[in-house]
Amino acid sequence: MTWTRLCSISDISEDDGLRIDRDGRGPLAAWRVGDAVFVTDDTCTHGQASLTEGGILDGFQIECGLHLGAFDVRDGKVTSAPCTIPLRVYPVRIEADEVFAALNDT
Amino acid sequence: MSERHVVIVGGGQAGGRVALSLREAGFQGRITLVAEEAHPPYERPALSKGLLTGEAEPDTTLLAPAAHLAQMGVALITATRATELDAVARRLLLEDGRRLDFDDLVLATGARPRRLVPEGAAGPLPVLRRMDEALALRERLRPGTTLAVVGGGVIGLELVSSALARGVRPVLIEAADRLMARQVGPAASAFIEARHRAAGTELHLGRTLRRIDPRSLDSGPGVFVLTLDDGTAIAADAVVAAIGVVPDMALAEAAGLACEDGILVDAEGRTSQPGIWAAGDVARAVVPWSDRPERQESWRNAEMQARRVAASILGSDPAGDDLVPGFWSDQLGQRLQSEGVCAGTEIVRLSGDGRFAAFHLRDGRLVGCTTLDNPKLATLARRAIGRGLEIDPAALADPGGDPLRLLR
Ligand SMILES: Cc1cc2nc3c(=O)[nH]c(=O)nc-3n(C[C@H](O)[C@H](O)[C@H](O)COP(=O)(O)OP(=O)(O)OC[C@H]3O[C@@H](n4cnc5c(N)ncnc54)[C@H](O)[C@@H]3O)c2cc1C
Ligand code: FES
Repeated sequence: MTWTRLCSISDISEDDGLRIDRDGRGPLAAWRVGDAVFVTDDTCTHGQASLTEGGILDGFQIECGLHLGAFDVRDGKVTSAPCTIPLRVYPVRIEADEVFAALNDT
Repeated sequence: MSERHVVIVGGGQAGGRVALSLREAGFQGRITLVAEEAHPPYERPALSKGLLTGEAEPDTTLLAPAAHLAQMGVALITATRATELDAVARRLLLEDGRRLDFDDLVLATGARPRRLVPEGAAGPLPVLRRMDEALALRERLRPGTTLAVVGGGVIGLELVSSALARGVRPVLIEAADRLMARQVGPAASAFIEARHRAAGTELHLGRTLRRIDPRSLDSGPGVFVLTLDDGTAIAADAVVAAIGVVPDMALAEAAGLACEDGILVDAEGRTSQPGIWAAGDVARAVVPWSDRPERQESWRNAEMQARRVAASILGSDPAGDDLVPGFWSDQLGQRLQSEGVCAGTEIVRLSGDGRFAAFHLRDGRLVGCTTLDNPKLATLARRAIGRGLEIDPAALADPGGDPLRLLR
């Protein structure tokens, strides 16, 4: 597994997460729930909507702002319609205050 | 004892969602969905957006993968119209002669485009409501041609945006003196109009289409010549009428259900006949935000009303319900979102980066918000409207203030 440094924990807003744009791939989203950090794709699997930009994190659930579909940020499972396709999640490692994710993992 | 049988008429957002929600809530009885179109239930919004530009394909619009519905035990009868309803005998007749006996019936028949037959036309102008109409139009949007759109509402404006994206020159004719007059306030209309003019759409506001003629040799390029009420002549290769829709309530009316420009339903979707329900564009429902029953034409309404009907059929609470009305529209690469009721005094805010927002207050409470490319604001506004947030209009308008903070 290759670990890529994404951000510091303190960069991640507890309400809105953090959108991370990286070359050559769709945007990522980092979420913070208490001490835990999760990294997922940022684009909702239902339509063209950014989860960090329009969504609201409530516990471990991210609700998309466009049609109110929702996912669990821990495993990407769909928790509310209209979404049907799970959200991609990435393994995370924390070192000191730094967030690393394994992005090439399938 | 026979199983309880729920029959759904209409394979759009509402019909499809009722079926899926019933199963997700654990309903064990039979579900039959009758759809006039040849497709499994699909979502229409892409029809004026990605499907025309080529970014979306028909299978990406389905509510659920085709196999999923079968797995869920939803019997799908497509390409078949329901022609007669006997509300007392609880029986539905299909055009192929089949008869379906039901315990519960959900009317999710949606709406049909209003027809426009201008002088000189052999029949009604083409419209955009169905998948096959969108696919046919996509073929006609060839770079360098001209598309004339009659109607400056959401669908007309998305049509011209998609035309521009395909290198087609759009001309839009609207009878009102502003765009999206039914959906947003005057300042929002003006902002949208300026963006469309800057993008190269030829706008004719306050004008109506008087007649349409096949091209004659001296009228320049284009297949048709459109003549407006002020005599302006426009050459176009394709024409689409997007002048609104009418609820498809023929079945309900003929069966004696209470209708009034829509099938009348209570807050849970019950019609005047026990065991018969309605949801989506066809329903005129009791809502918390208006003194009179309202009929809405939006994705969110179809989705949420359908969930409510499914829950009511089962006597449970709907999952993820949201009663705040709202819609979105993608135009010229920007996303417009409307939350609540955008009528009455408009408080306009332009942020430093040029992003537009308009707020509507009633009795000191936030009731509506229109934003462009500001999804967080839309989300917070929806929630604030839902909880009846009291807000100071001066603070909202203050260019130095932060509306996100005010609405959280
Ligand atoms: C091009 C387009 C773009 C849109 N974009 C947006 C958007 O960006 N945002 C938004 O909020 N909303 C949008 N909408 C509106 C949204 O799609 C509708 O509000 C929604 O589709 C309503 O769902 P419905 O199930 O009530 O009706 P419909 O989707 O119209 O489905 C009703 C179905 O019932 C069928 N039917 C009718 N009578 C019978 C019968 N007797 N027997 C069998 N079948 C029957 C019809 O053929 C139809 O397929 C758009 C609509 C269109 C057309
Ligand atoms: S785009 Fe996220 S729920 Fe539709």
